[in-house]
Amino acid sequence: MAVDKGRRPVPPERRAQGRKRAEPGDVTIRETRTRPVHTPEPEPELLAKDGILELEDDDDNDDDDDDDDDDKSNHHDGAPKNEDDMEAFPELVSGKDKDDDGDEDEEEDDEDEDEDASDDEAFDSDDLENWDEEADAKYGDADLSDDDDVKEGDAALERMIARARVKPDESERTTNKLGIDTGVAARFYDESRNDDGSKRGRVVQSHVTGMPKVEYPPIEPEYDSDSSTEDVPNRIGQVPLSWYDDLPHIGYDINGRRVLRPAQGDELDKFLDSVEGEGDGWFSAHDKTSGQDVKLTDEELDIIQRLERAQIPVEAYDPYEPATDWFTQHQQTTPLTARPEPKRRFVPSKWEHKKIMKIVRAIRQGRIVAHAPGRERPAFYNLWSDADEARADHPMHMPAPKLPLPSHVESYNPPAEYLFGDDEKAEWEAAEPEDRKLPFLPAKYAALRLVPGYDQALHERFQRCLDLYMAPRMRRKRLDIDDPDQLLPKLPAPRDLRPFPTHTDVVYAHAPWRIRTVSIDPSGAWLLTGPDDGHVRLWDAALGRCVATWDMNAGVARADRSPVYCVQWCPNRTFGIAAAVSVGRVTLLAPPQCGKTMYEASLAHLTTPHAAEDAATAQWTRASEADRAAGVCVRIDVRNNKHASLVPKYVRWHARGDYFATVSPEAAGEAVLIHQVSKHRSQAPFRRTRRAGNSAMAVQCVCFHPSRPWLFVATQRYVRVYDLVQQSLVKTLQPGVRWISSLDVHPSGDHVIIGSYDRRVLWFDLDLSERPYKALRYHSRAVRAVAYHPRFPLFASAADDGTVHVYHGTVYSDLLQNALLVPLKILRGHAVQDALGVLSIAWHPTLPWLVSAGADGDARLWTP
Amino acid sequence: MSDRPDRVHDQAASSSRDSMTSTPSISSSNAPATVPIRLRTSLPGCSIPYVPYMVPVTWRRSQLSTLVNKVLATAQGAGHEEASYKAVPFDFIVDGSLLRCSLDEYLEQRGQSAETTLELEYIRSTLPPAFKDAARQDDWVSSVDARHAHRILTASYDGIVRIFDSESLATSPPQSYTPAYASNVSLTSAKWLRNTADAIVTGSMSGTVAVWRVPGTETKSVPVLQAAELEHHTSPVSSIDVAVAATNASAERATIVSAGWDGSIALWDVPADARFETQEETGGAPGKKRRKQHGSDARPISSAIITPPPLMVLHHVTPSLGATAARALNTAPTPGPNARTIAALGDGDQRIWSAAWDGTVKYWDVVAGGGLAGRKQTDKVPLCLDPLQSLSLSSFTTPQLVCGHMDHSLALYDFRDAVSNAALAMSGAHAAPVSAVKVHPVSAHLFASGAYDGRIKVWDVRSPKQALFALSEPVSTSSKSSHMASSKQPRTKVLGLDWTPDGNALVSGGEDCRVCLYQGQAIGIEHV
Repeated sequence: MAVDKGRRPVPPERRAQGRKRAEPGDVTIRETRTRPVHTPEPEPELLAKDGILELEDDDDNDDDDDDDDDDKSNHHDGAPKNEDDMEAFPELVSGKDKDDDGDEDEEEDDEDEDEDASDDEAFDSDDLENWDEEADAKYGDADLSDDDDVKEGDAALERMIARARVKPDESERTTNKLGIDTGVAARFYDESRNDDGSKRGRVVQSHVTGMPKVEYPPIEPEYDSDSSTEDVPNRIGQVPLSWYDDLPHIGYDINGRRVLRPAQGDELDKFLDSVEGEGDGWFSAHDKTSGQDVKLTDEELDIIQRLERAQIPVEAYDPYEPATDWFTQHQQTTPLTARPEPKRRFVPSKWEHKKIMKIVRAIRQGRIVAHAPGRERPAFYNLWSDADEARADHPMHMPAPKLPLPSHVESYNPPAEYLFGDDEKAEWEAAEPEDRKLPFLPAKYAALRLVPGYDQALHERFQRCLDLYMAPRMRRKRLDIDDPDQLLPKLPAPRDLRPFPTHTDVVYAHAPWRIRTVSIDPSGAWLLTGPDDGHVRLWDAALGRCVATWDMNAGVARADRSPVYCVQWCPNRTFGIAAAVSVGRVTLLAPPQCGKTMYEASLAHLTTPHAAEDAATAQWTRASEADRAAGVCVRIDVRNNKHASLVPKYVRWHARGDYFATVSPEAAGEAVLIHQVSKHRSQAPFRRTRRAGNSAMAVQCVCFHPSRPWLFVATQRYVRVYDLVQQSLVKTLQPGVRWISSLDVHPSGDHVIIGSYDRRVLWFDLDLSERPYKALRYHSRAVRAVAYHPRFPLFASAADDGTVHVYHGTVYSDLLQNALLVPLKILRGHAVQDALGVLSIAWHPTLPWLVSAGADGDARLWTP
Repeated sequence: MSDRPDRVHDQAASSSRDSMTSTPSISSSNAPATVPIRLRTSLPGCSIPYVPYMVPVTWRRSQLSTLVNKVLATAQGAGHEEASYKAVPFDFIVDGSLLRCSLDEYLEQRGQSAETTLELEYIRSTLPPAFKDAARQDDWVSSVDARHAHRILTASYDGIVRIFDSESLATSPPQSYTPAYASNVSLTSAKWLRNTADAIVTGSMSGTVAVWRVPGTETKSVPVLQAAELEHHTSPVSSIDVAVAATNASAERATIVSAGWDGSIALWDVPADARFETQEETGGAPGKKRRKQHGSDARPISSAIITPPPLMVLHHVTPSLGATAARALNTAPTPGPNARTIAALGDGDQRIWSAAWDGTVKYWDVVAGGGLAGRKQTDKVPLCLDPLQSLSLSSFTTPQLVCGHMDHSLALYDFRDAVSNAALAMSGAHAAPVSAVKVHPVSAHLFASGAYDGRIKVWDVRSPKQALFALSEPVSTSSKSSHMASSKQPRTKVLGLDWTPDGNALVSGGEDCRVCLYQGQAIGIEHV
């Protein structure tokens, strides 16, 4: 066709006709395909070569005709000029005779059909040479003729349909997908087929409807179908054959035409045929489906004969072939294969085991119950339930938080109070969308059908999706606390920690003076109290009787009288010496009531032959004999050059009983003085203080370490530990309180308690940290005093709320074990006067007794 | 005795008595429920058959006492006429406490049913001693001695010994004596040296134990008070006890035991009439003598008294630094911890009982040379002790001791039992520390105790859970004001307590500076 196009351009309206005119070529190709063996693949190439080599082949063909026999001629008769040439050599290819015959029959049928379908387009290959002129003239005439309008319309319609049936660009395309000119490029199929190999249909006019229709060439079973083993097509349909007994045809072909029954001879003809015929009447069978007699071949006859003899129909089959025992039960010495036995033969399947165990577990857990009734499906679907919400099957599924339910304000007909007024509406409109309390304006409608669509619906859904998507949700595990007491630390019961003081037995009455200080002597029998009247009193501790009184302000002008700030017994049991501070001096007492020998020993101890007078710091003065007989032995005036008189307010003995320290908080440089009794000497270890007069640096109290030469100095916020021998700072405790009030060191020396005016009692473990180990916040007012018991694991704190708290504090020698602190008892009994409660406490040295001094004028002995 | 019919219920159910049955059929149809009881006693001659009696549960002490009296009267009536029997009121002790309510109330309190047999012990019921008289003095009474029937001796913290006449306690002023050494020293205890009440032993806070004579009843004016100071204690003396051994009438010797705050106990042997040999008579080593007459500081050198050294010195609490070691170290001796000791003599002068603040209770055998015979260890702080009176029948004393403690408890120490510490611990006997305890001179079961809250209780060892009675504060017009004062100052400690020799009266003194006499009748009489 490309050659045609190159030769002669075809007008577009005649394109379909032109294609029709290609039909004879198609026929010739079909004829070529009747050749016995050829593969379709090389055919396009060959076809292209045909166009070139055709002239030469013609010459060769002529030569071959002369040569009579050549295989090449068989190949090259594909472009025959007439069919007569082919028919001239039927015997040359004997094996293909039948096929050729069958094909020829069909082709004849096709041609008949073509003639039937379109009379005017019944072309022959003979007309091919002078086709152009005739057609032009013919259609030119047809165009001019008036009486053929209807035909002309039909033809136009046909052309339109035909044009629509054909890919529009097929003819115009000059290059294929590879960009090669289609005229030059090799083609896979010939003209009768599309590029995908399917056959092109023809447009014919249906003789049933009269309308044009596409008719495809019939499928030849052996060549057009992929399955060569296809049976003879059933042409009668799924009906009994007897239905066709009265009809002239038997079944229909693929185009729906009747297949006429072949002419049947009567019984006489059959007889004559069997008698006079060629003798093959005996060897023919009647095919009912086609109505013809089929002559059986020799092979078929042989099969029949074998079946009649009950033999195997195939002659080549030998039933008595000797059997080769390929797979026997006998163990061969040399096996067929040396491959080891695969593992799966003898190891049970793991996955099968898993599957089975899954089922077993389900059965055990009751998820699979044998003969269990199926789950009842509800008859009706609950539209409003949440049960149908998608739930993940894992336990960590977190459902989305629910939206609040609509309220009255979202009604289409809300009550009038929900509607916005003008100012509210103006405010709503002025506000940013994020700041609005309501995302919409409440509106009132008379009926639900008047409610317009909500324009923010999509926006809100989007925002909701954003919330769900972008806001992280986490599963917060709630503490499931059955018993809140379990959260409390496991502390021993106070009754297991006996003995500890619980109640008052003896009251030492001082009314109306408030008692600032109290101390019990090392034997535990005597008690010294210092009330505000400036008289130190000695009490029989168990009896509660005041035995002696000393005026600390003796010889002092009335305006200068001061209370007794602090009293403490010397812890040495050999002597009965106490130090009391008042009016700027320290008085050393040796009460003669404590026993004759002890008094004499104390007196001798306080009267050293070599009294080193250090007038710069403090002046030791021996009391008069009358005072010495009464018990007042030594007075120490704490003076220096700058200040007329420092006021010491605190005294603390060393554990050995030779040294004691006094504290004068107002004195900047010499706030802490250390006095040595045996040498009658005083010294100021902290003479060089940087910031004098700073209240934050004012020393509150001091305490000696029981075994080391350490001095604990508590300023307002810190406790500094100094080594007095090395003259160095050992460490600084950081309590983190605002104002330290009191301090005590554990008898082991490793623990410190600190009381503060901001109501806290802090326990320090010196080996552990410089921060408090425990902060006990049990007092409701300022803590005034803390004290360790020297022997029992007890300590106590007194505060301005009028209570004394007793704690149990066990310390362990094991460094890995922290101290055990248990609050034991709140001792109530002191009255709060002028916001002052208990001012001082002292433990009995050997018994679990506690003495507390209150601002209400009572000192109390607390016993178990 | 068992064949005697029980005619107990002759008022209630007079007739209907079977001979042997111990269950009186008092139950009629409308009678209340009954409970079986069994009655026993330790009173001599008051036993009744130890068989169950069915008594109504509504019965109280009086009905039960009537029951016992009827039984006893029937027993006596077998021999004599019934009128000769004099009814004795009885008290009933159930499970260690006196029966103060009806039987069903008791059963309801204890949660017991009326079917269990109640074991009742009956004792003689005595009326509580009633407040009879009181005398005021200037300072706290530290101890009271009423061993002489009419002369009550008190020691005071102002250092004065006062002798009150028990007949006219409130009206007549006491005789006041100040020993020469004790011008400024508080006396902690004073005791009559013997029953004739003419010699005194005193202990003081300064550690001096002194023996001196006072004018007797017949001679009320003795101008010179000559005191013999017994030198041992250097610390305050906490207690003193005296026993008189009558070897012969002419030379009566008295044994004194004194305990100090330093843990030492000294035993002295002095003549019971306090007439010591003077220096002029013997011409031996110079002794101490002082004489004083009411503030005058005259010192007659002519009559120096030779004071004996202590017979033995016992250290209840071992001193930390003994005297010899202290002398070697040139320091002062140091007593041990918690060394405050109290001591008493028991079984005449055969034993010494002592207790110290460290919780040990010991008793020492004087005859064996001061050996430690028994020891108990508690965690209580004793404040007072007194050995239980021996039974008159038995020749040996029961080594039992009553102790009052700081923790409000009383304890009965039985040294026959070496296992348990306290034979009978009466915790919470008082509401305050028990500061004084005194055993009844006649009865082996009774003792009195006084506490820091001013309450005095009389106990029977057979009812340790509840006191027999608590002596009530006298409510009179004279003591009204003091009572009002005491209500303001509620704790007036009882410091001294003593029975009169017949055991019918109780004398107490204490912080309230008063000597009170509580008079009772037939207290502690065991026989019927």
